[in-house]
Amino acid sequence: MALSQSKIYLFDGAMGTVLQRKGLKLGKAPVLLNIEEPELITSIHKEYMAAGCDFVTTNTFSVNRHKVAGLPYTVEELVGAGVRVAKEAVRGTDVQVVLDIGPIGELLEPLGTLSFDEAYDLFAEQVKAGVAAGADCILVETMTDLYETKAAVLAAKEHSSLPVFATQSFDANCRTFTGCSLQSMAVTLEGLGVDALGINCSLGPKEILPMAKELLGYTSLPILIQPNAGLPQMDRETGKEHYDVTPDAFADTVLEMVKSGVQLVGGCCGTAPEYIAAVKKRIAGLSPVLRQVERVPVVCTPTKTVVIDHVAVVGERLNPTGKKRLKEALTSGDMDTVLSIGTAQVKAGAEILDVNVGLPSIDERATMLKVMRSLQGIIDTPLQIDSSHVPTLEAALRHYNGIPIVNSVNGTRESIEAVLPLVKKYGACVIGLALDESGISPQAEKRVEVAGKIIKAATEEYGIPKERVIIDCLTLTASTQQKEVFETLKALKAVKERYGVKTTLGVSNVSFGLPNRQLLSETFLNLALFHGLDLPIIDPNASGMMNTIRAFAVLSGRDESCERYVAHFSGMAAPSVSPVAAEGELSLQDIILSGYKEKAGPATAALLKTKEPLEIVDTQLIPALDIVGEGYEKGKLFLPQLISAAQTVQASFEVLKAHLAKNSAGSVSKGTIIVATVKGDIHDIGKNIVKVLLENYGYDIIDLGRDVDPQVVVDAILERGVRLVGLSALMTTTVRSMEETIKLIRKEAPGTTVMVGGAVLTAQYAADIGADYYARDAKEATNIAKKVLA
Amino acid sequence: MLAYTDREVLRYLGYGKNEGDAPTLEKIALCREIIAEKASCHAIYRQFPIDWVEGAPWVAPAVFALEGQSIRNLLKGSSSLFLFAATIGIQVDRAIQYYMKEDLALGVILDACATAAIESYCDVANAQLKEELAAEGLTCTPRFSPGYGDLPITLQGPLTALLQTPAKIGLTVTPTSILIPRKSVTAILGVVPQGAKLPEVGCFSCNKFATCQFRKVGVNCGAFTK
Repeated sequence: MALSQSKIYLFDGAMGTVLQRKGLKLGKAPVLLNIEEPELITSIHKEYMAAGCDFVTTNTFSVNRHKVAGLPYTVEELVGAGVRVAKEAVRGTDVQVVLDIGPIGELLEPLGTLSFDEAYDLFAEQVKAGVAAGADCILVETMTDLYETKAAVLAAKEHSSLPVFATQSFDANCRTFTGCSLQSMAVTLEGLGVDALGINCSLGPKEILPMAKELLGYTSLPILIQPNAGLPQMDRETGKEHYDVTPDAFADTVLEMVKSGVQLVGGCCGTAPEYIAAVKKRIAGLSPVLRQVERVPVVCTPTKTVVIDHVAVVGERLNPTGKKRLKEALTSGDMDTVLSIGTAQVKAGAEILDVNVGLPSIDERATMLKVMRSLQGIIDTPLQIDSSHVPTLEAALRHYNGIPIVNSVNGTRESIEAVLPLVKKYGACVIGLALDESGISPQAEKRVEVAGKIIKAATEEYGIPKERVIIDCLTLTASTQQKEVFETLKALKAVKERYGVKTTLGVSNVSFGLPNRQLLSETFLNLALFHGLDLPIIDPNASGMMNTIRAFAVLSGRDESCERYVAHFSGMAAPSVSPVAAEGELSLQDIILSGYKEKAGPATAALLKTKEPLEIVDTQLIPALDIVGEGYEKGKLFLPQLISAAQTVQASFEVLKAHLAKNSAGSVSKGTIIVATVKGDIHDIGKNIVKVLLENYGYDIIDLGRDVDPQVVVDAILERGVRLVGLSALMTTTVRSMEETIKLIRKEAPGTTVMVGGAVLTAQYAADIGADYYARDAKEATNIAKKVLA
Repeated sequence: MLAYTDREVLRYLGYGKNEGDAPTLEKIALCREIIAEKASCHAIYRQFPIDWVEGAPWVAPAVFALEGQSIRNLLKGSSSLFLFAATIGIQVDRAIQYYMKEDLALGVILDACATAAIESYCDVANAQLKEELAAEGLTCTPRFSPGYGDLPITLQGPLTALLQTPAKIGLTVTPTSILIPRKSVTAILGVVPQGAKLPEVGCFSCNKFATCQFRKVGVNCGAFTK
């Protein structure tokens, strides 16, 4: 069945509420009734049908493998039975059976521990069972995590050809519990190709009404709204919830939604057949309101949307080409370096981050997923996935949370046929490079034609909305192709005018091979902005480039009343005198003891003029650390001070390492140590503190992160030939997984020394699970390292 | 709503009874702002009768048993209990992860502030509950969480499922019984007549008693009454 544009559809109301009314025993899983009391469920469906609904929703909310683990039936049996009893109820009518799919109940990575693929599998199992039993369509509902919604929608679409509806549950602040906004949900789910989307649960119709109206402006898809019957009031005596909105009041507000353009309505918690009947009465004879939705280009994460209606900077620094440090970080899996490059760009004003991990020696797909997951765990800036490797693109698009930009497709048939189906399937934006089989044309007009070809293919062949196509007219290098520099600008202008699409350029390419690159890049950026550039791909840490954009925003009238310009530059009054400077020249040791992180670098650089790096380590850093460590052990200094000092030493080490690298003069490393929080555990503060302290004492640390699979630890040991591993677990439940990790290390990497730490551990416990050392705190870990790696 | 003191934050940072140093106090002030911006507080509680089956309290009617000596002690004077869950939301987790990469010291302090914040939020929610109970001449025991004493941490799963915390307040639990958002609390509170002697929930009932870093510096973590 497909939704008709000329009909208002009515869903049913709550199942749980009616079951409770009929005396469902507390703690009993309602889904069991599908098998044990099917007539009861059928009768409830029939009550809703009598009230006039067009859809009945199966009694299968959250029936996934994890949730039903303790029940005597499989997911297939429970879901199958749920669909069959609904089908029994609707037999001989036009009423459709909706397979109900609710949240899993565990949070997905990166903030939780359930992987996206695992979530997908759980949903796929439900979909397969529902389809086999004959469901007519699929409803993914009460979701609060856009990533989980995406997994469910993909599972539904990849295992059925049924219509898929998806709704999320929003809090009074117009966000879901995980922070997802209405707009992010709307554009992401529309991109994934659902048939209708909307809001359910959490709030009553009055609270949802303004959200529904807002949502109507973000997508042209049909909107489905299923409010609760107001807010729950709990009767403490009986433990029963009742809701404060009457059927008539409920129906009045739902009617207002329909009049605003909502096409599918129903009820959630607290609603019963009389609510649906009241709505039916009010919407009888009404037709859907014709909606005009302005389509705008949007990229997003769940918590942040960037509407490309202004010049938005795309940070270019996460690209290993010509960047030794990032290359090393990507090769060794050091995500901290990647994250610090990412966050620095965001702080400098990037609104989107380009991510390219292409290196000859690397598993690009796995690395891209790891980098993306790390970035999405701590920053909410949308990403631009930069790869020419199609399997990498596909995996990244599948696992990205929100709407990314794909960088890129070009005008060759091969590229179009490989990339655009993925862009369509996952609902991304895509950059079209204005080049084809014959390369980059020196003439603007030819590039404009190629751009047109890509736009046509995207929109007509693949059904990608035009606003999701961004054209890159390609910056050429002035030192080698001077004549063609202006052709790029001409093409840019023509593309904007002729096709009305957004444009991007890798700006700094223009200045390769010439002195004072900055001047050329800034000037070119200026011109490109004037010719209509929307998404400059630049280094946002280059203040000249950012200032050029700020100035353009003023001169083009986009920065109204020059507000942002004034705010930025008035905040940059003459730099105040640093409090440290007033205290005279501090020794590096004093700087460390005081935790003046910013001073450590310059002080170290000054010392390097007269001293060898190792001498600085031995005479300045280590003694300072010892003083801090002793103060900490004696209870005179405390954790934040210990960490501040350690971070200051860190800053000093950075300078020493850079100095050594520049002079190819060996290293100050005293050995390599792996640290990880074990599988199933996500407590990583302790591990992070141990890491920084170990680094202070001159060890190189491979930080595998948290929730780390035992095999990943073993692989890292073997690959890098590491002799000492530090494992952290904070829960009695995860110490078991620590034990398993140690067992696997003993089996596959014998000879490795293992130290463990964590709040529930003791020396005895550590010995019992097979560890070599127990580190009761971070200081102790450094002592162990000294002993083991001496 | 989140009224926690610097003193509490310092205690979580291991300062014991010592004064905070100026840089740390400044960072605590900054972290308060971050928490105020990121926290999204939700709580839920629900009352259940207690069935005593062979000396063990069951959440009635026959939902699940509460195992261990410590919960028996807590509930011995109660005929009903509250299951309680509260969280300050996932954006706080994200912020902690961010600052731990950005500035570890700040991240650690933010984590301590967040711990103080959820505890204070629970205190507020529990005080409200007591107020409601007072009208009926009742009050409740201190809250007691899975993982305290010998009350199994694995109770997190059934407890959150019964309260439907994922849908109601956005609180989930991992298969290893870790609550996510991290800064969340689940607990059991016994209902007793006003004026009855409340059971003491002391440090000694905690499974971290032997290794506790708070006790070492002469304070406690704040979770217990003594």
